[in-house]
Amino acid sequence: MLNLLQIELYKIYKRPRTYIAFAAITAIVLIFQFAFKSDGQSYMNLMLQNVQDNFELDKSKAINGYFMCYIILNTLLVQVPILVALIAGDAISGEANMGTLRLLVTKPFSRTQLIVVKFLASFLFTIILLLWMAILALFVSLLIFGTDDLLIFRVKGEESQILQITQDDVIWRYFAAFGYAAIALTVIASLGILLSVFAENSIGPIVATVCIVLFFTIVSNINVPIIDKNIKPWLFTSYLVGWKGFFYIGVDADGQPIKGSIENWLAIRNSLYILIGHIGLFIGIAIYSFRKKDILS
Amino acid sequence: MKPIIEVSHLCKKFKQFTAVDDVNFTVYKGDVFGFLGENGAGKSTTIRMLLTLIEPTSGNIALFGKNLHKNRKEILSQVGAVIERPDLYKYLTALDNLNLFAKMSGLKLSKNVLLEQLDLVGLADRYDSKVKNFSQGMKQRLGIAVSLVHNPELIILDEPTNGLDPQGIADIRNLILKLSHERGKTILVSSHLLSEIEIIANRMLIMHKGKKIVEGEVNSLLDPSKTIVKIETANIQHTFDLLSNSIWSEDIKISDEQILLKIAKKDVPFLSRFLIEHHVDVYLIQPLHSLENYFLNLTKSTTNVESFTN
Repeated sequence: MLNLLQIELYKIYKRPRTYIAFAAITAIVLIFQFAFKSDGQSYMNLMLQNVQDNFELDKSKAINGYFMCYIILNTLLVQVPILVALIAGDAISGEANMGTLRLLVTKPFSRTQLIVVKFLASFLFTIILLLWMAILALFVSLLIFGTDDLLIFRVKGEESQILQITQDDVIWRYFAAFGYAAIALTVIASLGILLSVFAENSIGPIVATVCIVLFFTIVSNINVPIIDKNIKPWLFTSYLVGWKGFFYIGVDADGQPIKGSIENWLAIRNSLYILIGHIGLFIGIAIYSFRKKDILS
Repeated sequence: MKPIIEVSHLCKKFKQFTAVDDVNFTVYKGDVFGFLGENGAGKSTTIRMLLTLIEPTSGNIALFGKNLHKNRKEILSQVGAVIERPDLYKYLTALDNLNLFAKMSGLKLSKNVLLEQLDLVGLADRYDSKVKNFSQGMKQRLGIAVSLVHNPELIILDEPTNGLDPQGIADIRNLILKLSHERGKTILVSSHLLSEIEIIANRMLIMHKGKKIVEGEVNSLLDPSKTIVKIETANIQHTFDLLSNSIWSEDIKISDEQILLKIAKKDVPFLSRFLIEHHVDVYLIQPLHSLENYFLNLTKSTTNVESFTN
């Protein structure tokens, strides 16, 4: 199995398509960093215009490496699923399209092993993509913008909030958030692999994965009670941004932040269970379908 | 003789369409087994079932004396295959592809051993070229190298000469003969070209519309006395008159500036000497494929034969 995984990773490493994702992330992060370095104050003024009457904030310190990483994650973790779909949606269908699937299936390992290896390779690709994102968005931002307390802007119900997390309480939250994002993106990878089992070219499953994610995300963002109650809990996209929960710091009875706390750990844990459940479901269906499939390509 | 492939009552249905219908055959150790049939006869579907790409609707397949379904991994480790097109990873080099498929079979081979494999198929000097730059013939040869990299006992080649130029066809044919004669491999090769099978196979099976028509030794299935020889000379009418008064007078026809003569294959050199001794300027003496006639007799369909020979 390890041998097969090495082979899969080697193929991903050698494919030019792989580097599109890394190039896209690099370009987006660098553009963000350049924009905020050049004119970050304008952004802060815009963000704070509703709340600045109630708070005294040193805006020059608000834009720091931690804040930059939060802003970048907020934007990129919506786009990264597309990049993950590029690899995962190609996993089986790409082999079918190239004609190598029939060679793979005649090798002395099972179809289940092949799907599991494809899944693990996509998972590792996701991890490496997130590590690259962490290096650029967190560590490079810290080098460029320095460190300070992290300010989070949050809309809760009908009120806007600013949460302040002291700088010595931030880094572990990022590690946790990246860990959560890895699980969330693995759901996308699993969906891509599942759809790729049924196709004989890469475009179909990649586009289908992206369309499903976009459609569910749009539905997840419709704030109507009937959808909130009856539909959103069933959509995996409702849980993709659960990583933000690690930055919603708990407060004491006086409303003061409690260092090292999370406002609602149970919600994060339940979201993780649901995401892992989806991974199991998608991969399970993929294995079942692939084992039954006649390879005619 | 030890059976390597034993197929019994094999059927495959795709909804209402029966692609393979109650096919039985046996391939023995050391055979070059020709799998013959027109396009759509069921050859590829049968081969795909032998390689576990397709699940049979019913019937049994045993390879190396073991049930394929129950011993899949063990059996496939002894099988090498090229199925229709020799598709490989285009973004990798020939050496990378070979190495990758060796590893898939659990082998870690040195570069020298891999280069020897490439040398066998005449690609050693292109080991570092990416497959996307290869011609169809080179891809086909690399596909065969990949099928051989784990030194399998059984090699299955599905239409290995498809899309190749005459030189490419000759190269693949010679490679198959070399693998059989020098390395003792058992080879199942499918083709829709009668001439191909006639040259390389010692045993063969003919399929038609999903059913087996015949199976056996190529030499015994073909009647050598029924070889048809095409003759072209400077003066065709004179040659016809000459032959009409010879020992071959009963089986001779003239048409379109050529003579067709039914003759035993062993007598062809004698015919050649006869014409030269009678001062006939010979342009061509060509035995036509006897398998064509054999197949024609079996299927009673000229369209099938035409599709084979075109």
